[in-house]
Amino acid sequence: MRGSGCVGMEVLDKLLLGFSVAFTPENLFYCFLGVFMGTLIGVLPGFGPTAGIAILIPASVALPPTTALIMLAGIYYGSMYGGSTTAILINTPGEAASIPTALDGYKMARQGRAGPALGMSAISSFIAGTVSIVGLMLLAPPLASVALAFGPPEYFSLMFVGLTMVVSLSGKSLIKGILAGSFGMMISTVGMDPISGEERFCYGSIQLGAGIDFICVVVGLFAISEILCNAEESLASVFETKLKGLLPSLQDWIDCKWTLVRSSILGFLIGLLPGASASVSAFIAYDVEKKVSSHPEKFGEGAIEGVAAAEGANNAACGGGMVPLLTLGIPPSAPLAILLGALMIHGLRPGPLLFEQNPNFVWGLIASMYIGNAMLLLLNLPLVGFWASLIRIPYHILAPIVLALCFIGAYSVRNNMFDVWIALFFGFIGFFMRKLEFPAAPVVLALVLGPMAENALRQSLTISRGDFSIFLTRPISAALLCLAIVSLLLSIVARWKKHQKAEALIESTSED
Amino acid sequence: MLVQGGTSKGFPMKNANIIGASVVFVFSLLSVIAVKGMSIFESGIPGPGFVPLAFGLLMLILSIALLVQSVMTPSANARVSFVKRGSGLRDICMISASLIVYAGCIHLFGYSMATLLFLFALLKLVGNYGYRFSLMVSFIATIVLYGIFQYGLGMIFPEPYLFPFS
Repeated sequence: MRGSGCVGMEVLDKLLLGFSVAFTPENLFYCFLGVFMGTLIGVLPGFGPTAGIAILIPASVALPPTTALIMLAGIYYGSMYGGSTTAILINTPGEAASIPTALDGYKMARQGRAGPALGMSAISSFIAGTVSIVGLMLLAPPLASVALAFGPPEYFSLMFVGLTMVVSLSGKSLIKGILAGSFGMMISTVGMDPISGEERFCYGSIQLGAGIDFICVVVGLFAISEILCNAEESLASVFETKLKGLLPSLQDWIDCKWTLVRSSILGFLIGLLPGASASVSAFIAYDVEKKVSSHPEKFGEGAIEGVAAAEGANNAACGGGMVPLLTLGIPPSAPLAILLGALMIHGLRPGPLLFEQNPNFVWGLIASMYIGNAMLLLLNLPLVGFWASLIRIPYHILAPIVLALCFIGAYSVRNNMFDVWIALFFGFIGFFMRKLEFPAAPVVLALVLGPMAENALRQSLTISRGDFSIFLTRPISAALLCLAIVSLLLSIVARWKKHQKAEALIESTSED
Repeated sequence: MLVQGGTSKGFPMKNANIIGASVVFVFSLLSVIAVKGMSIFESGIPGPGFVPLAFGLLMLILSIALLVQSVMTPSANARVSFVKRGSGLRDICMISASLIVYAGCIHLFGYSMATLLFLFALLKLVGNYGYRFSLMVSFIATIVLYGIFQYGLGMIFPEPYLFPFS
């Protein structure tokens, strides 16, 4: 039996391998580009990491797989840094995960302490991000080795677990969430059936015979529809705050020392959970910090611990979310579902075999996250004035450029204008979905996981000659199916209880 | 913070939900009918029609449930509208029309010319910027985008019908 020391040395060896992959000039450049663009996306209100990754996936197709994913992952965790800048300076969080940051960060800015707020935000993000990457490095390999025992039934059950996350991504209405997921499954069946070669929903069209590409759907559903929805609102960007002194004071460090530890661990653990996105971890960490504080009344009035907790947790969740993505192929949140699609496009199938067959890629990616995290600290502290100036660019100038970029992105998939029309079509679909409160993330989740689940199902039933009990007689498969059903039931019960509470509150309010 | 534009009058949300549920119902019904030509099971093993049929039926049932829910739910706030009338709706229509025309123009004029026209139109008509500023920004943005993708990433843009040299 190997001792923990040997396991530790093995992980260290692999990490060194990863650094040798990540420390090439090309990978360093694209890592920098990714975190830079991620920060930019986080800073600009109206653009989230999901849309940002979606738009830039086509640009990554020309790159080698490792380089491409280093860049795209950089966009994901970089956007968490950028979102805090607008949250603190103009009370407009760049993305949902920075909403708790705005509660105290903006108040600090109004008190003339924008610099320390931004500084603490960047430093807590760096510390928590590093902790979560260590967690990823230690947890992912053993989880991947367990998953090596998977065959088609286990894969189907695993994909089923992933698909049940539709419930978590459903937002207010479960029916609408499941409908969106089912819609995604239907889209995934358009084209040639990979097993029998039969055409499905092609209607004689050669373009439809090639299937509907994931990138076109994502660009339309997230990027184009977002801009159409934002067209209804006027984005106010009034930035008057003067920035002076970015480093937190000694007292700030004393106040936040345990906050940094708590938010890192909490964010990482929450990031592991399906459906728990970076924004969920930020809110929970903020709430926990307020509860354990000896001065809870300060929260919401400019408590630096609030900024540290929210920003630390949302960055730690990024590393946590990468664990189920890389080891099991289950994306726990919408941006990671897009990243999963990017992995597939580059011929990398996430899951247990990824660690076995592509160790250079996996450890290169993990090592690049350490490097990217350090780059983000350097980008966000000295360059905060630059990011602040970007907030002044009117949305009416940025939005048309982003739309043009969407069209290029969709076209670049297969050098076919048909894909541009598909992206546009899904842009309109996405707009109506948003207005009618249908969540878009389940569509993407089903689009990515659906074909894999279908193939695994049909392969499993071919092995068992049509006997469905194969999913229950194999222990890992049975355990995964039980997990999926329990998780589904718990989510449904939690939603029902929340709904009951909301109704009771409405009733008591109307009685008053 | 986001500032809302336009007035609150408009198409009621309840009606929009009913129409949305109806559209989903029609889509799922057509999907189930379209599966008719595919094999569902072959020697006890799911065929190509199995997943489309299963999810088509699921969508059919859920769309009926959603339709009933939408009809039964009282209008909590009669003023909640699907989309606000006024400048917001106008901008959405302008952008949507511009996108469709843009996609068509790429076929006719090529990417660079179509992008220049598209950006100029949106900056002028939606952003309400002046002619010179709109033209300048459109020109610079088109060059940068074209340069990055054509020369930086080696992308081949579609051949236009009318201007082969663009």
